[in-house]
Amino acid sequence: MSGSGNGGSGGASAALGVQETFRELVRMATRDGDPVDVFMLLSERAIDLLPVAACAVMVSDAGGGLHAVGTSGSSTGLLELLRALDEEGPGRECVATGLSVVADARTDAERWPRLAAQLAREGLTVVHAFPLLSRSTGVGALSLVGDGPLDASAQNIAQAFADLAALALLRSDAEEDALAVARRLHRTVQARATLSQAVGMIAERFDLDPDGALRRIRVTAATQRLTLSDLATAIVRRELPSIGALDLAAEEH
Amino acid sequence: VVGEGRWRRIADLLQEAAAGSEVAPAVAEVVAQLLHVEHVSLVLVVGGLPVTTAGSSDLAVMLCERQLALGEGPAVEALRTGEPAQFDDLTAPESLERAPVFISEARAAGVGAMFAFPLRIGGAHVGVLTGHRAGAGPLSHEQHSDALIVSTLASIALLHAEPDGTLAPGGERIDHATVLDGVVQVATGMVAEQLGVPMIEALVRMRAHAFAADGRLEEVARRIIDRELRLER
Repeated sequence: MSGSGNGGSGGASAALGVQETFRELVRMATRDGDPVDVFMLLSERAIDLLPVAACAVMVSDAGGGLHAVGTSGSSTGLLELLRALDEEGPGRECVATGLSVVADARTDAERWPRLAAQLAREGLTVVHAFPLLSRSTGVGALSLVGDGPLDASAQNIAQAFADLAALALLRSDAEEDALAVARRLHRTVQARATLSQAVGMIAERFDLDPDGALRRIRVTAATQRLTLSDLATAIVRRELPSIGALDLAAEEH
Repeated sequence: VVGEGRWRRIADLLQEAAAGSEVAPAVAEVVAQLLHVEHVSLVLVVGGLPVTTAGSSDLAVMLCERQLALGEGPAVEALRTGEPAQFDDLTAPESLERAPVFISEARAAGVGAMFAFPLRIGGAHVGVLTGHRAGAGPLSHEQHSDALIVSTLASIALLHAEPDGTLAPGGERIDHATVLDGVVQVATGMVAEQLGVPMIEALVRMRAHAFAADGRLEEVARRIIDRELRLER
């Protein structure tokens, strides 16, 4: 987005196939992976597998607002687009109805003017939102942004990504209740805010754009075997070993 | 997941209680009402140090200060971990293990249960709110869920406070979408790094700049990320 590439994992390595991708994500989601890690990886894999420019996992807070907790990048263009999606457009409708919704800037501009304007600014046209469901209640949406509508088979894969995101968020505990879900949502939104603040600190410290800073953080988390949330927390607390590791990651990247 | 109505209702309660008066005591009042607790105290992090800022009673203030002095107790735990700290039953051995000196004192003062919730926006630590009551027993699910909502909204209300701690009547609506916005968070991190200040101070400064320049916080944030604007130390 915004001249920052598609924010994906880079063209050097061939994209994983559908099966490998889902095996990897299911393993992570069911082995108590930190939800933010799962959502970030899922977003990256989604843009590798599907003909879209950006992906976000958005969860609904108790106030009905949608927060992008996993994103395929961290550019201002993408973040502003997601903010427009929180305020209007298919995301909220998708959560409210529990059904997938598609918005096309060329035909829905009157209905969702802010979203349409933001899409136009990014040179994109279509947003698909697929529901994250807890039983039959919408608790979030997987948003995919591209320059055309997805065909039926791509939509099936997209809904499978959304189901996986719901699995990572809700887990399958028998005792799972509304409070436990509310607590996990609250914690996930806070963890994502911390990650964004960490992106800002690293962008400033190493003179990177936000996408570059996010990539640096992800590479470091992977090599240090830390969750994104733990590394982000260490960064915002200015714990020096972690920041030193980020410096080293520059050479590998 | 609780509906939008509840969030709005709690935001309205806060806005009403704080309009034209000091935010911190207003937060304490609303929390006492929502959580059905007799006493509430509020600690704010000022220049990196926790300071007791409001208490609904002398007992609440005293217990809050004892925690800060001893470096243990629910409020201290929530400040340290950034997660809620529940002490459902102060007579339980686990409670005593977590904070031996403080819990003995609180029990002697007739407290049965204590609940602390951090006030923060990601890594920007605003403070902690603590409720306590004479009877032991956990918060109900609804009270707990309200506590999570009010802790986010209170963090924002405190951020909106004027330098004298009051909320201007008819001023900004308490709106979580703006403060939790991704662009705002990235810019907050950049400012914190540029100025070498805590995250919360970076957020306060960006807000002050937006307010003085009559602009929106998101626009200020975008200009900071695009390196068109640099806030001065």
